[in-house]
Amino acid sequence: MKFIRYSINLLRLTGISAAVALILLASMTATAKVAHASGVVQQNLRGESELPWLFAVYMITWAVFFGYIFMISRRQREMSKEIEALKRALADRESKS
Amino acid sequence: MTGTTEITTSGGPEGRSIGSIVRYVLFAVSAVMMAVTLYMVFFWVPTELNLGVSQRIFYFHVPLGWLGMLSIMVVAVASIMHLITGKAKWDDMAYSTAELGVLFATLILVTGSIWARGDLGWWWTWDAKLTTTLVLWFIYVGYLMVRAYSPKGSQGARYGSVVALIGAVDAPIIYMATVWWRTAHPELNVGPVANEGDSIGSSKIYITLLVSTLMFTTLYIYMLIERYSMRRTEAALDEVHQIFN
Repeated sequence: MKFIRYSINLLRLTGISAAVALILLASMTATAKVAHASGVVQQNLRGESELPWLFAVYMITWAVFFGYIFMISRRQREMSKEIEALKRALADRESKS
Repeated sequence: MTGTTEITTSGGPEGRSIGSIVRYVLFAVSAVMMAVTLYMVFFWVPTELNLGVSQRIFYFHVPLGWLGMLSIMVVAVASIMHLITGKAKWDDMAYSTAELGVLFATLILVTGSIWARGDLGWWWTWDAKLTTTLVLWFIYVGYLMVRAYSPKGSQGARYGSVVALIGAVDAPIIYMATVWWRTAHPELNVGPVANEGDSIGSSKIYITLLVSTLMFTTLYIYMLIERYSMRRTEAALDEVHQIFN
């Protein structure tokens, strides 16, 4: 049980970190866009119209990772409940016999 | 009962503590490297002159491609080990890796497609590199479907192993596709058979790509360990259910 609880906590931590990374990424992209628009980034060239594509790729990648970790975390929770139910069933069986 | 699950999934208290440390370290390293990679991609590396801003997709697309191809090799090796030794742990490793492989193969296709749309104006073309990568995605999905619909136990694992071995043949074909055929996909500019004429200009681009690849590989190992542990727990729970019923 400790192991399952530990895994769930670690996965929650991962999920929160992924969310933070997502927010960080969004703000970084926004900053990059502002820097680009204000001429701070001067060497490019074809750039601004391509920023939404760049933003989409980074958002989708992190969203997929976040979704997958969330899925694993949910399954871990279900398994934890299943183990609890089995423990109760075993205790009932032992008390009857 | 719970003890059985814990022992099966983590190898006892000693194994558990070592496993915990390894996981925490991997997770911490991934998180730090993730922040460093984002900083490098958005603020440190210069914009590539010919491809413009969209070239920054490269720092995600290439590592995802590397891990997508690596995954099918791991699935194949683990499947062979399972066929030789008959041990369930190898099959659990193959299954967990295949699930991650689907994730990475999907992201290769999606990120590549978006990059092509932004840079070249189209989402998809039936060229050798793209098509063989799509074949890899179908192989991963096929593997998981075979495992889902075939009988539980060693028979299903054997069917899956055959699919994995076919998939392993596809990985070098994907890598060499731009060498063997004329494709719309850019030439290889990293790796042992990369054309020197197509090499990347700036060393900063190489360093960023290297850091990004290391970050994704660390994250991949962390996710694989998590998924593998969960798979072992699922197997242990199945056994307990069978005993109960």
